[in-house]
Amino acid sequence: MSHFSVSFDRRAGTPEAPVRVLALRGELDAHTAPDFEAALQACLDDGDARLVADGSGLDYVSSAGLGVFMAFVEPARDGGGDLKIAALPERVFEVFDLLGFPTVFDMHETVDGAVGAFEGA
Amino acid sequence: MRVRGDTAELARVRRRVGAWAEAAGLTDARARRLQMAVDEAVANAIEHGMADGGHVVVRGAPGRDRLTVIVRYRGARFDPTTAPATPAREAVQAHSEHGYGLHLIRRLVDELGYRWDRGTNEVRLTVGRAS
Repeated sequence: MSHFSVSFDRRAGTPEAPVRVLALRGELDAHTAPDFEAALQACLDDGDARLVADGSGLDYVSSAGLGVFMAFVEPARDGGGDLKIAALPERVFEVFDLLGFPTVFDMHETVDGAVGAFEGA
Repeated sequence: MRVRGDTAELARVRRRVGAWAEAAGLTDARARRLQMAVDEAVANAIEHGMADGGHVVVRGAPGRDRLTVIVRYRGARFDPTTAPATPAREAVQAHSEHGYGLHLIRRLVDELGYRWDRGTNEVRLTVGRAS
């Protein structure tokens, strides 16, 4: 089994302009991608569209995982926010880079950098 | 190794490919490329191609200066060497959710081969020990 978890207990930004940080851990593959999808959907359902995916604990990403990021970037932006990606380990970043994802996503080296890139945060 | 038609098997496939790669003397970076390409090929078989109740057979075939992983399954004919794919750049700009697996398979391996054998797909993914 792939080990993967998303925890999104951390809120950042300011009370007036909150940012939700999703901490990804483990392997994001075709088996675990639905968990990530559900977590992102739960954020949007809560009205939280200012999202940061903290990838520092991510060991692996496959095309299924990449597809989930892609599926939510537009809904987040349409909701007045964004899905920013932060702190990817080098070997995981390489996969995003190979396909040109940095041309679409706002990617940051640190979670704080990604949170700070939101207006008013 | 024999793999059930369940994506829960993918982690086991990646670990096994990693063990084969280590035994074959591939660098970590090259091992990761092969693991990922095989993961994509097997995931594709499980999710789209294989016959109901079937299984995928994944086998390592080390060569003198390379490691080939052979993925075989019965099901719909799918040739990753010729299947049409939207260029990655266009897919990304269109925020497409799908279609990246084929690009990864093609870009990550040094050689990609395909054979259709009486209802069975055989995909051969090869990474060299050095470029």
